[in-house]
Amino acid sequence: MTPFSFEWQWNIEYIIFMGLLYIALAVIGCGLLYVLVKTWLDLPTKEEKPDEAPPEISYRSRYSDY
Amino acid sequence: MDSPLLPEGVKRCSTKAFFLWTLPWLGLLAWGALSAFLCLWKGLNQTNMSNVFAFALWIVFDLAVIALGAGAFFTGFLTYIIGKKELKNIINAAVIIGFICYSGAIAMLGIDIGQPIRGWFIFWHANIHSMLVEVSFCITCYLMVLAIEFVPIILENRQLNKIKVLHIFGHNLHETMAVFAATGTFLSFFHQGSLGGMFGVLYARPFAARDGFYIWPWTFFLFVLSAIAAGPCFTILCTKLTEKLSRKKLVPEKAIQLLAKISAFLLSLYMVLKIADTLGWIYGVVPKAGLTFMDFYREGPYGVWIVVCEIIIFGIAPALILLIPKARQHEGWLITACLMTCIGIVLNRFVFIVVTLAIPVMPFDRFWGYLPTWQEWGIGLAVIGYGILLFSAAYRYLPLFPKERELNPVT
Repeated sequence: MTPFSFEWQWNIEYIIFMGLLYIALAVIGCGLLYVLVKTWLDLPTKEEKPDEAPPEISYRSRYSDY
Repeated sequence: MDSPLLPEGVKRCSTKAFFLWTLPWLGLLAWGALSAFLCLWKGLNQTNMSNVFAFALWIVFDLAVIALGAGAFFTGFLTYIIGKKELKNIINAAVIIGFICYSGAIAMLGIDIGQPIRGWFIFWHANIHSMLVEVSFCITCYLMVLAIEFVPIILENRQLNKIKVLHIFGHNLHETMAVFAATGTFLSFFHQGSLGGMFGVLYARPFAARDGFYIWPWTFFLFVLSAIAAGPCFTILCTKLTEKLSRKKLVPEKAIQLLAKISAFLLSLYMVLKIADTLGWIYGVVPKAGLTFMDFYREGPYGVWIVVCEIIIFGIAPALILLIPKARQHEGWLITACLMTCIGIVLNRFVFIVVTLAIPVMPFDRFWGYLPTWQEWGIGLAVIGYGILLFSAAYRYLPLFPKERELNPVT
């Protein structure tokens, strides 16, 4: 349901209930978008040989420690 | 045959042994698929649900797995928000268990609503005063969060990790996990609570109705508390079961003990509040409805024994075992206490769903019995089969336990 749906009523109950849903969806969406953009920016610009191993990310092997 | 897919430096059983292990669970899935087909093709007349039992076995399974899957959000909260670093060694398993529980519950609801093709109505034509609508919103959003939390674990697979873009994407997801963990905590708090609140507001059914705070009946808070107490116990139970089956130590004892200790305090607090709630119900809600405590336990198989089992045997007893450091450090007692806690929570959900509906409300009503059909059992058990298959595949192909290599050096 959106504010454009015919059932929508402009009162505090609708705004809080649906607002919280849209905030949650926005956080999830923005989080994913941030990760996708950061991945795109992190990709090395220079061409590498296809069989070259991906660059090692520091402390990746220590996920369980940090 | 699948050795290039296995994590490096760890030992796994042969492909043949793994295939044989999956057979019974595939059998359960096949039974579930047949049941789902019949329910979708012929309708819900394949079940013993009725106007009296609109909530039945599937909802018991749903509420039970959602409570047991709470280990994912609560362990995530403790790890990423509170900063309990020891739990990093068990968080992957907790996330996968949570994902299995929530995806299984939603799949089961897809059959339960009878016409899954209209499933989207609950989102588009939402009744914002309904706790069930809130639950639907939250579990759907939380399943998205769990899927996002699951992705970096999948991307750590030996072959996928070689793909540069996935390697970086997985790493970046891992780095941003606190945001998703916080969102998951918010969503879980409300849907766990609303699942309880849903019963507490049934004022026409004094067996379930409760007083409360503002718009939330006490059951709202009790369901949240019971889920965060039982969820970690279920995570410990699954980890210990995997350790027994693989004959390996997979998680450092410190992480298990921390989780068990937190669970012990939460379970104890839950039991204190549950007893207070039960007394408040006996001396408040029940007399106000013109009834006595024993009026609810006169007919049918659900006697006072069910209260004794829920509160004393599967509540106070495991809380005491987990509270005593020497007892919870003993593996046998730890597993027993975790198992008892999980049984207690399943029993609690069963009581709120099935017993509430079975007990007569009006003087001319009678006690209603309910026994699930094989199709209902098929769909419920398929969720267990699916869970075991997914968890087994995750253990085999993904670095599920980060300390496994360290704790079990390959000679």
